[in-house]
Amino acid sequence: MPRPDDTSDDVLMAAYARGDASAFERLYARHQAGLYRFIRRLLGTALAAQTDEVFQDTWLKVVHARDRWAPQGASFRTWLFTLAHHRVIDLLRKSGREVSIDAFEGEGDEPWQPEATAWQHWPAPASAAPQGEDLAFWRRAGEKLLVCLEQLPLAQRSAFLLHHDDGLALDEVARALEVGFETAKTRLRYAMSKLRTCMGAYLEPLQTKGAR
Amino acid sequence: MSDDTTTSSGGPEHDAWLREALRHAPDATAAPPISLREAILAEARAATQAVPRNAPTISLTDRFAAFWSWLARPPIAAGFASVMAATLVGLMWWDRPMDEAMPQASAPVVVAAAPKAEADPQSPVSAAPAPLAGPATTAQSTTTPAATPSVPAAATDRAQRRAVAPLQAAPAERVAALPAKTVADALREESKDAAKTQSNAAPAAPAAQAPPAGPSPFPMRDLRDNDARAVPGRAESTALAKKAEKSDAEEKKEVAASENRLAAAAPATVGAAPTGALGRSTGASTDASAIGRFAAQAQPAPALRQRAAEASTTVRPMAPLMAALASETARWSRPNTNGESTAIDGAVQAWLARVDSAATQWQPLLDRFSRLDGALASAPETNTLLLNRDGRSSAIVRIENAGVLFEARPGQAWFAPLSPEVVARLRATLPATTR
Repeated sequence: MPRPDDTSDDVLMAAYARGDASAFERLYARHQAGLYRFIRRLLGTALAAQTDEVFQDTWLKVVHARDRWAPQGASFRTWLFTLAHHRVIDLLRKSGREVSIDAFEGEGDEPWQPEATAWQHWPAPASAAPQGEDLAFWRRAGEKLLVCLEQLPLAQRSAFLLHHDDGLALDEVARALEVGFETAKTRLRYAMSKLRTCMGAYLEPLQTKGAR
Repeated sequence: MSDDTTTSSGGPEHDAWLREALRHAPDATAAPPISLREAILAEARAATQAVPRNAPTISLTDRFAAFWSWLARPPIAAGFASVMAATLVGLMWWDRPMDEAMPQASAPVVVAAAPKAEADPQSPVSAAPAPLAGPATTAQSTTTPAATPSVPAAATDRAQRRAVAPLQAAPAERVAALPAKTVADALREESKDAAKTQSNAAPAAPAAQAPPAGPSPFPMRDLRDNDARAVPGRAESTALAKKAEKSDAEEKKEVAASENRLAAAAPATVGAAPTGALGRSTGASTDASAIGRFAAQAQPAPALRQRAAEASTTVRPMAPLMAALASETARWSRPNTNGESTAIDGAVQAWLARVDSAATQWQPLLDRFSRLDGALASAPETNTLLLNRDGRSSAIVRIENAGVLFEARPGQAWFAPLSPEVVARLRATLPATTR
C-alpha cells in the first residue's frame, strides 16, 4: 500500500479540483518551504517584506485556478514556481525596479570562468552534515552567496535558484521561466559564472588562511 | 576550474559547491508564518465548500471572462464589429428612404407657392386650404425644374406616396366592390372621393401638394390612381369601362341616371378643392404672355422628363376635371359653333367619362405648353372639346388620330394613345354642339 506522500502532485491537484481540500493541504505542505525560499531569494533583502504577500498570492492563484489547471506536459511544481515568478516580476515592476528581459545585457559572448585553484581549498560538498569548521565555512559561504545572488539579474537568479535550490531539471527550468531550453541553459551558465567570481573573492581569505 | 570539480554532482550547469553554500544560507530554514499558512488553507477549504463536489461549476465571472477572451480573438472581434456596424447602419436607416438624407431643395418652393395660391383674389373658393391649389402650386414648382435637383424631386415624390397611400386605397377598393354599377357611376363616385380626400388630407400633409415632375395639374389624383392600380379593383374597373363602350345607348341611359343621382346627392363643398384649383389655374392662364414665359422657363431637364414619363403611365389627369364638372356643373360651359356658351350637359360628361376610361396610358407632354393656344386656333372643331369655367378657357380634350390629348391650364398637357377603333368611336360620340 503506497504511502500518502507518494501520491504525485498532479493527482493531488486533480483531487483538489474535485473538492478534496486535504489534497491541497498535502500539496501545500510539500511545496511551501521551497516556494517561500524561492520567492524570498528572488525578491532579495530590499523587498523581503513582500515575501508573505507574494507567497499568499501564489497559493491563492492555485486555489482559484484549480478548475482550469491541466498538466499539459508541465508538473504542478513547475507551474507553481511559474506563478510565483510571474508574481515577483509584477511586484518588482510595481516597485519601480527595472526587470531586464535580456538577462545577458552588457555581457560578453562567453561567461567568465574562474580559476580552478580558487575552489581547491573549499571543503568537499559531499558531506551531508558538516561539522565544526566546515559547517561554519558553509554558513559564511551561504551568507556570501545570498549577497552575490542579489547582484544577478532576475532572469539569471531565477534560473540558478530553480536549478540549484529547488532541484528542477534544465527543461523544467526553461518551462517554468517560459523560455527555450538553450536560453535557460545560457542564463544558468552566466549566473554560475558570476556567482563563482563573487564567491571566489570571498574565498581569498580562506585560501590565505588555509595556506598558513 | 575543472568540469570534474563543478559537475561532480550532476551536469555541466550544476555546481555542487554553490548548491552546498545555498543549502547553508541563513534563509534556508525560512518558512511562512503560521497565520499565513492558516489563511491560505482556509481559503482553499472555502473554495471547495463553495462548489459541490464532483460537479465543479463555472462562476458567472469566469464565464464572462471566458466569453470575453473568446471575443477578444481577432477573427471573432472583426466579425462581431462588422455585424455591429451593419446593425447600427440598418437601425439608422430603418424605414427611411435613402433620399431623405439629402437636401430637399423642392420644399421651400412648395412652401412659397402655397401662400400665393391662398392669396389669389380671383379664386372663387379662396377659403379652401392652400394646398388645394394644386395646379397653381404645380405651376410654381415647375417654374424651377432646371434649378431643382432631380433627386430631391424623387424624394418628395416618395414622401407624397407614403403620406397619401393610406388615404387612397379605399376608393379603389370601393370601385372594385361595386361591379353592378355603371362605369360613369363608378368614375363619378371615385371623383367625388378624390375631391373629399384632397379636401381632408391636404391640410394635414401640405408637402404632398408638390408633384415630383411638375406637369400633372392634379397631383393628388395622380397619386391615388397610382396606388389604386396596385389593387385588383383597378383591373376590374378597366374591364367595366371596356364593357361599357360596347353600347352607347345603354351608357347614355346610365349616365342620365347617374347624373340625377349626382345632382341630388353631391354637396357643394365636395368639389371645392379641384374646382378652385382649376379656377386658379384658369385665372393664371388668361395671360397668354405669361403662358409663353412659363413654357420657356419650364423646359424640364432630360432626367426630370424621363421620370415624369415613367410616373405618368399610371395617372389619370382627367379625373379632377370630371369631379369639378360633376360638383359645379353650372359654372362650366363650352363654346358652340357660333361662339356662344353652352352649358355642360350629361352627354358631355358621359363622353368625358368614356374618354377617361379609354385612355389608360397617359403621358405628360412637357414641351407642348403652347399647344392649348394652337389647338384653339387650328384644331379641327369636330375633334376638340373646349371647356370653360366661369367663361374662361380651362381645359381642352382633343381626339387626335393616334389618341387623346388633354390639356389643362397652365400648360399641363397629357396624351394617351388610343386604338383607331376607339378614336373613331369617340369622335362619333362627341356631342353634336361641339362638332
